Amino acid sequence: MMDHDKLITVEDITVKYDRITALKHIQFDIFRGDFIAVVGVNGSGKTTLAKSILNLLRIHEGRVVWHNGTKIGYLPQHAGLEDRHFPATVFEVVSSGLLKDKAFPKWLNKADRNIIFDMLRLFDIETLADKRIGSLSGGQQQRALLARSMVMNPDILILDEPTNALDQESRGRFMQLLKSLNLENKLTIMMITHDVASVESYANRILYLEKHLLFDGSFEKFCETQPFSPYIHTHPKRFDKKGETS
Amino acid sequence: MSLFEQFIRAFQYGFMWRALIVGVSVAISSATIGSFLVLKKYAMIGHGLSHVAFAAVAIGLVFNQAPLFFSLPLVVFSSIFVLRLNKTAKLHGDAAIGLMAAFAMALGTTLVSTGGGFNVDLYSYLFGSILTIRQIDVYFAIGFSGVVIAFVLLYYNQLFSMTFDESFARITDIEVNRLNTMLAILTGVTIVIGIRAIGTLLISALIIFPAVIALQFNRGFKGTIGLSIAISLFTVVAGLLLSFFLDFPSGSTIVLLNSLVFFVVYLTRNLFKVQY
Repeated sequence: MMDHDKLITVEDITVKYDRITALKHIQFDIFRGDFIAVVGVNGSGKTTLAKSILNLLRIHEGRVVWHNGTKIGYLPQHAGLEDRHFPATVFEVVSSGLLKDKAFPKWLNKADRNIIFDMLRLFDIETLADKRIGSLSGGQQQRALLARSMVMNPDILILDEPTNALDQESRGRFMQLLKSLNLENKLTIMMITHDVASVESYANRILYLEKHLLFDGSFEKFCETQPFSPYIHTHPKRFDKKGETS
Repeated sequence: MSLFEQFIRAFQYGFMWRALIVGVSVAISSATIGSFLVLKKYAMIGHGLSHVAFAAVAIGLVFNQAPLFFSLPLVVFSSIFVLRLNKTAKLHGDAAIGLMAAFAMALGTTLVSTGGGFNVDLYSYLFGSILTIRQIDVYFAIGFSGVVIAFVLLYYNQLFSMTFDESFARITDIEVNRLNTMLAILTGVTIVIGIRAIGTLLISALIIFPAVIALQFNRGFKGTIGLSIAISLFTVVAGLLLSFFLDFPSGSTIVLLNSLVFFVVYLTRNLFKVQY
């Protein structure tokens, strides 16, 4: 990879919550076009890593560098949807993705509305524009949140366990959508998941976290070199047949 | 005298006009700010602050000063303080509000008892009285509700984004901390505007009720705030008129009307499955 393909450099970061260390000396680069899966058990620091890259947390040591004005989209784990009755329409939610580059008072104009509707069409949720987001199915909600990030026209998209609440079919459809954005739109993706098997055919890089970064490489190499890692240990059946969930 | 004649007569009094202008100002600002507070799960901040307003009024009465003069800085300061306390998570948010409310109530009651006990003046501050609204209160209400409305209009999109999803709002460079502080200050201001017409102990209801009623209707964010303002205007104006005709305290009449609307909407929606 050339240096100009670097979007983000994580330089030896350590993050603590009070006295508990959540991440220790993490170091890696994210390159344009990467599809990275960040895996690890609960409490291994996956979400902390995402939040550190997004500048949502105080980093105690080291730093995160965004190269050449890299734009980052984010699909958080809960994203306001813990409250199913939150009165926000799909249109309103997606429109909040446009606020970053708008001048005060950040009111939307006709061109913005067109951008939003184009994105809703692309994700096949155009007819749901005026529906409350809480009334949608899990898959539709995730596509709406994805649309919110995509109207930002990001270089990289960070997703925190986006397929957790989805059934098998919606999960496959959502992963296909991410893959096509990665291949056709050259969107760099960093996805946090606790299910390595589900990203096998999508991710070109696996980052395996256990507070430290224990592994950074391809899925094949991950299975070869980390068969006895505590993470894989907790899901032994998943790895009976490579890539197939039990 | 017919009901219509009585209705016309009500508007021949200057105090009624003053009450209506203050009432409409309070109705709009409390419903607007309340919608954000309820959705951010900060509804109880209004409740806690109304107790601080009581303490401030007591201080004012004891020292023979205009209570609003003490209320504004004290309530606004407490509002920012509770927000900070909530954020640092050193105390649980609702526990912090409970402590503040109890302390303010105890302080207010002690001060009042040393100053000669509960009297008519204090009673009108507790539960609202349309007779006591002066011209200066009218200017104050119009000015500050204008500030609240301007703030929400100018920052509407940012406020929506951070209310729905604070993390995402931060990555789109929205200054979440600054907006939260502004929201806290304007909550304090709204409470103080409402002291005269609604009363310190009941003003928090006007922050919570209209928003909660509006949430029963299946609308988007803008629609919910609009509906909340409409409900607030209706209950405040109707409540003020009723309190005039029936000689009830204005604050409690307005809150009872809100409760009635809430029960009707809630019950028809949940028992009879009416879709609004």
